[in-house]
Amino acid sequence: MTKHSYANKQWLSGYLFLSPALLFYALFLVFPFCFSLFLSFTEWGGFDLATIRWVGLANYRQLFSAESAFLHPILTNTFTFAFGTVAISFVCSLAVAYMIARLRWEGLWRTLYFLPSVTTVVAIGNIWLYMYSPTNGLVNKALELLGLSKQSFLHDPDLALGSIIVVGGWLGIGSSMLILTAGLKAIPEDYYEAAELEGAGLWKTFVFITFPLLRPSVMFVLITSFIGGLQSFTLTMVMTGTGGPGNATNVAGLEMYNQAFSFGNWGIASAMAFILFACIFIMTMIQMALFRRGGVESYE
Amino acid sequence: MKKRMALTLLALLTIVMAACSSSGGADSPGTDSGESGSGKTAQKPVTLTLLSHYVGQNEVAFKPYIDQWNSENPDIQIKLTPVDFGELLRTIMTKQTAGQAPDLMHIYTLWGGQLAKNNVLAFAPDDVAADIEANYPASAVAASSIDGRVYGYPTEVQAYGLFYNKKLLQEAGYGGPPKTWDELIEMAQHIERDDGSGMPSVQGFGFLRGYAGKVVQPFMALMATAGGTLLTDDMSAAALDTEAAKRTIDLYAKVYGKDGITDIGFPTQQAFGSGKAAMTIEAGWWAGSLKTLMKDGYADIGAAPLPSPDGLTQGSLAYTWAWSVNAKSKHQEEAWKFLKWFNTQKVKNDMTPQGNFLLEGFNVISTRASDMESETIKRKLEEDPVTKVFADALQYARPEQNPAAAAEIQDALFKQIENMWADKATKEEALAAAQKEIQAKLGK
Amino acid sequence: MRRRKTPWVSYLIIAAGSVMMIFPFLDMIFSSFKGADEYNRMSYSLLPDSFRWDNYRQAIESLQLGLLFRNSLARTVAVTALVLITSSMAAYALAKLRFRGRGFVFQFIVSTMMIPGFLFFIPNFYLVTHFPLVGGNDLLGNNGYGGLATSMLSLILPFSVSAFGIFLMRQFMMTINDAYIEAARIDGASEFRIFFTLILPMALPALATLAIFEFIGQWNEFIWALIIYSVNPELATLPVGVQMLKDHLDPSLTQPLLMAGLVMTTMPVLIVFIFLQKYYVRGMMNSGLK
Repeated sequence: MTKHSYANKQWLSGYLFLSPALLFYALFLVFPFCFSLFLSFTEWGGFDLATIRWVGLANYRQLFSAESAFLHPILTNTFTFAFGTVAISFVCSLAVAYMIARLRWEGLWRTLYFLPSVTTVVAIGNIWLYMYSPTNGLVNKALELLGLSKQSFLHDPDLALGSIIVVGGWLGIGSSMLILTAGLKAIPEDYYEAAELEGAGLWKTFVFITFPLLRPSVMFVLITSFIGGLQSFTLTMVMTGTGGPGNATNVAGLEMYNQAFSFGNWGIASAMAFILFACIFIMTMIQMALFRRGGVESYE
Repeated sequence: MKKRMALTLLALLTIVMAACSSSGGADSPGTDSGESGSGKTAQKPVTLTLLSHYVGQNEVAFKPYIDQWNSENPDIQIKLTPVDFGELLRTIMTKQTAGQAPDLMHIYTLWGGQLAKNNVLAFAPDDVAADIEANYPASAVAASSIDGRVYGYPTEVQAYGLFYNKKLLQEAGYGGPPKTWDELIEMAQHIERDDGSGMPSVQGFGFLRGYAGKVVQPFMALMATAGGTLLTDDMSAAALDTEAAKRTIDLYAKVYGKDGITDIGFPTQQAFGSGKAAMTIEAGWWAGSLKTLMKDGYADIGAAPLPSPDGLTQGSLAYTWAWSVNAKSKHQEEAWKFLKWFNTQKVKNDMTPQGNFLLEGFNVISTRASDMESETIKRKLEEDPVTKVFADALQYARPEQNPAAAAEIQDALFKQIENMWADKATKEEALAAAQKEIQAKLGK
Repeated sequence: MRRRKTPWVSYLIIAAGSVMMIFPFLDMIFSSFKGADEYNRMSYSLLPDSFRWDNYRQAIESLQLGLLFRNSLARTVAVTALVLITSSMAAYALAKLRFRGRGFVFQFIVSTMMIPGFLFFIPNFYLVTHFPLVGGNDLLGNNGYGGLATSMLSLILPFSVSAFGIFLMRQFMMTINDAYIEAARIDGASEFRIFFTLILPMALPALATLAIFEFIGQWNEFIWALIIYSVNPELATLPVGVQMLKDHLDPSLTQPLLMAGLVMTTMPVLIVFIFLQKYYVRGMMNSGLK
């Protein structure tokens, strides 16, 4: 077999192997992406293609206008939610992953921390909704036992978003922990032995050995959970319906969903989706750049 | 261990293939709308799909009448599609997009404008329209019309009133419910009790909350007692810059928020059902719910017309549901035939199927003239003072205005009121912002 | 990792943390036995007045549990299988075959992970309901009675490829030594033969991980299932069905049913996971995702 025909054959089988995935991408991703982009410049109720009306930048102009609630509070809420949940789940999962690696019954602990991640968000949202009940919820009972006054977590707009963020963070600990544990296990034992010989304590070992070597996992966890956080709205939908009180817990995904499927404003909804896409794109680029400067190879 | 995993995977794949092929089989046309689509000739039996929010217990009460129709009319069969109220509008919208338009729909008339704009609603034939205009209260007819053209039979027409707990009022030394807004606030403050935990143990007065309609409808009802409406009469402009609107938002600001008389987190709806809240505002249907929930405790519940600023003006808001026919339906004639029977034919107790169903299912009285004159309803009103309060309110209640953006408009006002309660905006700011937003949505 | 003296502080923190992880589940289980009046009380109690199994009977009655379970299972299993197939095939090409455009395709797939999922809800909903030649649609996708939304495929197809899956499988396959493949090629094996008889068996741990990952994700997926449900209630999945138990007008009446429904939805998955977690965790660790 000549070198030339060999390469040709790989070309053919390469695309053959890729064809199911690429066909899917063309149908359910590229086409919808373009369609959605087009819709974002139109006004349409979603029923009849003949009734699509081109409105140019009007949808975007409306969303960016001063009286629109989209930039603030909805988009700011979206970012707060993403930052908040990532911060909580990342810090907790790092601590948990680092600690349980040196404990007995490692598998048991890991299972317990992972349970929320296998549970449907519908269940999580409803359980916490009940736990946050201002009169007969578990959380207020706990506050009462600590001698604090009762709070109406989901009705008080200063607390509502934070209360949902706590649930989102709690929920995210499991999967982040798993990826970080995988990263921890990949660090060669010699490094720790060397550190021990040098007389480094637990904390020093973590700061100077574990964390730097863990960086690729950390980056993966941060980027994926941040992207996930920006998109997620099931929890909000289950816990506060349309994002109330007022718009206090409303996030971009939820608003888009209601605009499209309840009010029939498909154009506006598509424009919202693209604004959020732009945000996610920029944030991811920034995160990747920061980490690359930190000396971490990305996944290319 | 690897072997076991391989086996598991193989088993998994087999199941999948089976699942895929069986789900592929479900692909063939065989759904009911498919059947109705093919039955073009008059002789062939037609199946009409009916979409409503009558689920659970309501469905149980509703079904016998549908069964009766189906057995008497083998040519026109009705198939029920019940969904929860919270999903109804979305279901109508998505089904329409999907080409699965239900032939018959029970809709909340607030959505009338939006649905008409998207060509979902068929207008009533002339004889039906004439019958409706002659036999229902003016506010219900107005709500079931778009630009003066009737599109459906009014069904649940519900006015708002004040619910109160006689026992809690008596314990605080009050013989009867408040007549004016000032009395309402004053009495509420007297009745309110706090156990020091940060949450009231007994609430004097609270609004029910949860979704837009729950907050905005009482707002419009109270605004009516102050002589105002949300939009101008021709629905072309927002009317939140009026004196009535200012007085109403003032009342709202007195209930929750930093100057509020009670805590917004207190679950008024639940608490009222367990005798821990003294007064709230809700529509008449709630009496039926409370009866089921409270059992003997229901004897303590009273109802009264809404208090007004001057204690003299009567005012309320009535919302309306209506039976309507889909403009995309291929069997509109048959659909109207069914609706005529369901809404006008006396079948038992000297009432229409609709009249019987409302009474059995919700403890609510039908607003059709012939039903209201029936012995059953007359007796009911004599026996049940709570129901009577709400029936009387229908006479003076205003209809809910339904421009195309009605649902969005209520949403805008709802969010502004909640912002104000949350101290994110003063009452003046909230009202001005709502006025501006509503105006923008009307202009679209 | 070496164990030095017993790290009591770590034990304490981890144990306290795990109480916080499982307590909500305990609360859910106990609450599922409470009566409607107990939800209206003004103070919290963990235990119900009495264990009302009747809540479960009522929930099962109003849930159509059989239908929900069947739908959830069919959808989850089908998506999982499709994702395994498409991911491993694409990953093999991207990891082990050399051809023009490979880098670009990989970059493209990875970058799709950045697009918010809900961007696709709108166009895909239109696409699914106006899919040509199914559900009564004509060639242009019009005049039908639901298109793909009349069938289970509407819940399956939009999820049949996962960028994460491709990525995960590629990372794993990169670790497979090229020498095996070269040897097979010299023996004259076709790429398909190599893929099925050599690569797939080696990739089993990664496949198992991906399978569990997808299974959990699809079993719990809510938004798309809710959208499809509003077109076709026959396609309700468990999370959707349970959420629909909630009565919007008067939530306090249906609360006990909701809690019982939630327990029945979540417990099977939790129990299955507890038994399979070993494989999942091990797979995640060996998957090259570090």
